[in-house]
Amino acid sequence: MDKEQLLYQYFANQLTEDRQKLFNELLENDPDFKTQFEFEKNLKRVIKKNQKENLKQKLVGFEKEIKSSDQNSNSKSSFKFWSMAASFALLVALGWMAYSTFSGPDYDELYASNFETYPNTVYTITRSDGGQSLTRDAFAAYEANDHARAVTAFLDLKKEGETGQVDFYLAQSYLNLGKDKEAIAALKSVIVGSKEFKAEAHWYLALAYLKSKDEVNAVATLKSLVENFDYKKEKAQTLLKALD
Amino acid sequence: MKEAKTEITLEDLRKGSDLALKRVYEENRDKFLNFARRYHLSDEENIDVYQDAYVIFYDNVMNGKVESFTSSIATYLFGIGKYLIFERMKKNKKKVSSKYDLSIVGQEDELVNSFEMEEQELTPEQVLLKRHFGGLGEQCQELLTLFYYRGYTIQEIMEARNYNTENVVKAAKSRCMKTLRERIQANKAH
Repeated sequence: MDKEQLLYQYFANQLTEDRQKLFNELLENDPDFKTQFEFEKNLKRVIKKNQKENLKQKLVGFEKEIKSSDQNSNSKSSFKFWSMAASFALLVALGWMAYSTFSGPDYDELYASNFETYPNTVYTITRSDGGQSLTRDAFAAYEANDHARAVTAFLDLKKEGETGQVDFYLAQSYLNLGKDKEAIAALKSVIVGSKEFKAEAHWYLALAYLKSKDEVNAVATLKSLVENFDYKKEKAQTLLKALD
Repeated sequence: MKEAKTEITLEDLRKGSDLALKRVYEENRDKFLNFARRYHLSDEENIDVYQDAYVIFYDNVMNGKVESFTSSIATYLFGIGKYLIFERMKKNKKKVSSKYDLSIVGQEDELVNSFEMEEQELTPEQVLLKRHFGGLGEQCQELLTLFYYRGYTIQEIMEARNYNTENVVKAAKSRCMKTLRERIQANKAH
């Protein structure tokens, strides 16, 4: 009996009673078999942990999106009820003041109608290359819209000294996860430090500001885009008019 | 009659679709928070518990413990959530009032009593393995995850990922395992 096959059947839950007996015997008497079994068992455990961590990260992303679209009813403090009620009243009052002062453009709507994830144009993933590089992993996750994982991979790439392109795509993934602040920081560093994606970074930075309701910076960034580049010029002008 | 907004099925969740994940998260969030409020943890803690409960629920969907929905997803989440909240209260050394005694078993508790709730710490060996697993190529990680986590057979992997034959899948899996073993070995040798 092929030991590999036996292990396969174990992990595929396909062991018959007879084979289970054989399996148990080997486990007791064959140290190599036991080592191999332990290895696969550990792997199973590790993959489970990995999956759970990825999922939790995704949920944290969903939560941020909910929070940012629902800021008024946000009551996350652990104050006692009365102080919570007081701060809630304050929030409502502030919100109302802000609304009555600046009521005008709907930033979320403007963001949503203009934002489109920038396609991967820097790394070609082919089925046959089977590469193991971090870059490949990062862009594979990016193309699969698994942005939580892409962020992790891009951050690892940055640790290895890659910047510029990586920051730009990192920002895209952050935007997809609703992490505006992080996206803004990454885009700024593209604009300051990189030769590539400067114009594109301006466009996305303006959108990120828009998403975080920072109209002043959004307008300034759009103006700089229109003055210095051709990328998305018309859209930027339309957006500027809408914000005017 | 079919409604425009279809119900999320177990299959949708099992397929790992992000859209289904998100919809289930959003649809049950407020219900859960309302339910959790009676235990007097902070809202932030409750959200954290909700997410942990969701992760555990999803894990049990994946490992086959939940084979069909006998109750609404919310009921599962409440059951897990209640367990997690008690654990937290114990940790915070808050006295669990008899009102919340675990022995008062609701429908939701029975539903989830076969679930794996506890997450044990990884052994040093597993930590090493986790690191090197993360360093594998996308294809390897996916293949091994399908097999060891999602319980796909070699044949199912072949069909789901357009491999030509089962042998190609087997060979790919062996290669991935070999790489993993070699990298760990190299790491130990250092």
